[in-house]
Amino acid sequence: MPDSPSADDLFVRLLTANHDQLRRYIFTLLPHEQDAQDVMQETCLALARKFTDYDQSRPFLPWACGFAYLKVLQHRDRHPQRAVLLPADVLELVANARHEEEPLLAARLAVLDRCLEKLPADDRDLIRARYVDRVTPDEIAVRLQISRRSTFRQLERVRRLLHACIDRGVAGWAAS
Amino acid sequence: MSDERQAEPDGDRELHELLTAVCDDALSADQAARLASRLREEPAVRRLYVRYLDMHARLLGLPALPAAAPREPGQGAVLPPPARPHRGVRAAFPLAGASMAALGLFLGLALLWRRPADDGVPPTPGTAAVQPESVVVAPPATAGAYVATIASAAPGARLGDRPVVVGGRLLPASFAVTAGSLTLRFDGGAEIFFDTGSRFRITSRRSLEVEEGAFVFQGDATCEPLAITTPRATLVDVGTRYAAVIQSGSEELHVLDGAVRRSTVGPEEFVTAGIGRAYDDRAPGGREIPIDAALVQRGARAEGAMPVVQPPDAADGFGDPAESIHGLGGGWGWSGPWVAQRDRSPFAVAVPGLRPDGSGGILHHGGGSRAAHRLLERPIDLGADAVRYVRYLVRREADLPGDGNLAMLVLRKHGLTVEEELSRQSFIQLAVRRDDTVALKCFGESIRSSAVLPPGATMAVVAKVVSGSEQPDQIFLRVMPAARLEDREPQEWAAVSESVTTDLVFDQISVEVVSRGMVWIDDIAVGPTWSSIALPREESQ
Repeated sequence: MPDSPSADDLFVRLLTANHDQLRRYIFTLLPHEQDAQDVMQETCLALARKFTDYDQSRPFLPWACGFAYLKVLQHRDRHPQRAVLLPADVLELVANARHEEEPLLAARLAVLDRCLEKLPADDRDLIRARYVDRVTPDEIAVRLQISRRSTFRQLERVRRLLHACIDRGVAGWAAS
Repeated sequence: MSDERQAEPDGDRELHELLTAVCDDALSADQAARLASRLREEPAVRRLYVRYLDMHARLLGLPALPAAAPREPGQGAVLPPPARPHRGVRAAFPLAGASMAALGLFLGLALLWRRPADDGVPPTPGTAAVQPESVVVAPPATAGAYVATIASAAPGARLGDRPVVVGGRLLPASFAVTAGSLTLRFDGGAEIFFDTGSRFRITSRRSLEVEEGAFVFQGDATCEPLAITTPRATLVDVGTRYAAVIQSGSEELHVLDGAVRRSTVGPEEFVTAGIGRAYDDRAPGGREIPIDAALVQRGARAEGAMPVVQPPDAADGFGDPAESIHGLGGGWGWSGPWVAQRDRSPFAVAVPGLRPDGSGGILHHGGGSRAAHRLLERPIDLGADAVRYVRYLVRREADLPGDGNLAMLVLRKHGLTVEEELSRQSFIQLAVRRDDTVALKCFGESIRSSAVLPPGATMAVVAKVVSGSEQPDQIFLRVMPAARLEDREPQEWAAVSESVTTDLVFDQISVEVVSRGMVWIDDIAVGPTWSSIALPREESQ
């Protein structure tokens, strides 16, 4: 742990400022919510332990992402049987791709809210249920009285709509 | 359209199916293999994957959807209102004082802070926290600090003349592996595997002397550097996995990953991945030898170190039909039934509880505080050389404004008055508070850690109690999703107490809840190994 109040404060400030990006970084490498939360916890504990080594002249996020990457690898080693875990060589490629995409990702996030506002009401309900209320696809299927497969298709369709909307929004931004 | 643009796989139906399966946790093994193959081979797929998953992660972090245009007349909601409580997001973070709403519910366990035990934790029935502040607190003596944990061991492994207890803690001292093999995890994060015949001396959490034997070091950039001194040199890892064989008159070094800085009285040497080196009197500066890959692969985990399947000493899954907890006598390892706190309505027994088998659990219906107590047949004795684990499951509704939403298990000594309990610091609280705090209170201090505690999720709260007759005692606490309890204890703990020397004995467990919302608690277990409280078990013995 940071051993002085000022180091404590700095750590809290940096983690607070970068927390969401770090979380999303982990989620890209480990796209399972509970596993990603667990790795986030372990990453933050490791960051706290090693914070005295942090060079304040360098940006915090890449330093923290380096820890997160290693923690994802450790998690992968502990759970080799989980389907959602990418092979180590692919993880590295995805991490590199994420690094290259990082500036664009911030712009895409800024567009996402506008795209959510534009969604048809039914699709917003679906997104709210899935993401805000955390209703599982199986529960959604029961509520909508449709098959599980149809539920996945609906979710896929809405995500594609959002994704395409963000693409257009970012392209429009770049053009302007 | 450029070639680059044509390569973008936005219209790729297969890929979108794979991505939606990832997002909805429905990826089959075949799909996972296909996705990995495409990610490996197609840069455009990697770009789309990153963008798509980032969008998904952002959506998961949303506390609410942004406002939208009103529905058209006659247009009804497709989905009925959610049955689950809305995921509350607190407006402010107590430590930083900065707005944390944007961080949603994903704040990791990161921010530990320690305070004297009397730190304003909301009053709870029957606990020391209700005591007046004027009572003199006499904390136990602080002892020498532990520096490492026995992470795993082969069956029959021994350190000196003692059997190895997995989960046990080590103080700086000299050790000899006289049978089997074991892996130590230093508190700085590095792990070292020692084979039979190894003799070593731990000097601090960052330094170690190996006199003889074979060892394998594994660490990465998340770990504190660990300096290992051998008779001929000092080895310092640089994000590394390496092995060394220390014999009388010669040493070998085999580096699999990263690099090792080897320093002697002469110039420093960097030995990098893929290199093996031997040093003896004929070649004190070393000579290259083939890397012993088999040795280096021997583990960060000792061979044959399968989790020992052992039942808990005490467990209660609340499987017996009943209306309330008072008088309930199920499970095993207890002396007598549960006794509800007098002058308060008891916890109800609800079916289903939190166990996957659909059996009952106990339920706090809101409306203030409840407590219930039960005596352990085999007390947790901090004067004995032992490691004990305590675990319970908890699920809580979203925090209500101004409500601490506190749930905890308290280890205590039966028969003490509240004043005695407080003055002797004779209790250990294992608590979750609000949607973001894990709290461990013991030995006169309170350690809290920020955690992810989503409303409606079943979480496992696990404590490890390390005790010693001559060595100090130490308590660890971690909270994790119940479905993610692993077969080995976690590498990181959310809250860790100081090492102190006490002879406290805890023979009673209390369940205590202070919340205006609904709180479920289930499946309380006390056991000698991590697996005894983490692996599924039969309800009857």
